[in-house]
Amino acid sequence: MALNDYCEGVISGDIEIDCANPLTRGVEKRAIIMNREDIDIDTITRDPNRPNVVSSIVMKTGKRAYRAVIPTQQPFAGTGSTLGDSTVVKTMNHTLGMVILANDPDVCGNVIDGLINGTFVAIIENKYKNTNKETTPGDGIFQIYGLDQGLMSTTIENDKYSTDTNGGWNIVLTEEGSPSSATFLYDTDLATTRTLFDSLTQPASGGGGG
Amino acid sequence: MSDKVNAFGLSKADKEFVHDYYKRVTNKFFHPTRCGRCYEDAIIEMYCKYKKDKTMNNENTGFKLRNGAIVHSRIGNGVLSYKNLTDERAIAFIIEFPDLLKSNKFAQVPKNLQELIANYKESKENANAKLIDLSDSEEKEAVIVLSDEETTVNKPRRGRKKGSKNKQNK
Repeated sequence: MALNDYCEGVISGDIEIDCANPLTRGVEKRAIIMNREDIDIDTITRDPNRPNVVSSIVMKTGKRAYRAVIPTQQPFAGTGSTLGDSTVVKTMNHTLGMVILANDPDVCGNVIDGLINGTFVAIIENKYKNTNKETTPGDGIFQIYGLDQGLMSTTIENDKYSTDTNGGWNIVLTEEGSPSSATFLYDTDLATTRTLFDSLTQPASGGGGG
Repeated sequence: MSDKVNAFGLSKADKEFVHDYYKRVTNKFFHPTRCGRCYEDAIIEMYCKYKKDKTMNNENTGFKLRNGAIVHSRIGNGVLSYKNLTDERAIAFIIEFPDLLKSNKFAQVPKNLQELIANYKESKENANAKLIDLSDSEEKEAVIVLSDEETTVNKPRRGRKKGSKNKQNK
């Protein structure tokens, strides 16, 4: 909440360690990625009391998110956030790194070509599960990248002799100029949030008629 | 044999069957990946689920939620999501939230939606009427029919003592 007629940067919480939920690094192997233009932006609902929490995100009719499964030791390596270098208003840059361990006409046509010029939103699942939190347990598990400005490609490379990709594709998507340090997906509780997460990648027709 | 598509012997028709029935049996969507045995795994999963539940989720005649859409009930009906989307639940939520259809949560609704709503309301009213009848009759004194003697005796249920029949027999 702004204290003055300009958005003053203030902190409003203690800086301490949550012993009941020890922090652990890394993310899970499974994430989802969606075209930003496929999202019904009007449905994005931020928690009025916690603006870093998004409780609703719905795709446009007939559109869906896509699963990104990276079965490596360190999936989505390179993913993180840094302070941007803007000289007027400081913002954050968010980066999503991934390798695509495939290379054929379908992968290149359906995925790689789209990544070159597209704008994307991704949701990753952190290995850190704050499920012992007193209120809103599990609200730090699903983290959204690219919701403000959209993720855009800054690296797309294919090295046939790369030991990191086994000849696949190395991708880095970056969101520059985000006003928030991080955005999380959380609706009511962890089970509902996971249902929401899973529902984004269902076939575009939705519920299905049996 | 020309339509055999892989070494495991599943034909194209077999795979189409899995696509068609996986959702109906498991209430989940089938995501064929590049793994070699995902169709076989799906068949085993369908078999185990059907063997356990003896039912298929075929109660959805055309409701489809948009991806990511979740509706929270305010009267204890839980959450409406792709996992539990049936006609009955969808209509219950539409009745609870009259503006739900305008909110773009649904990607598709059945063409006979109004008919389904009318049927749902009618069935609920009938169920409520039965409940009222039942509660009324429970409030009155219970009627015990002694079929042996072909007579009817009005007797409070709580007033009947255990073992009284044995004593009469003696």
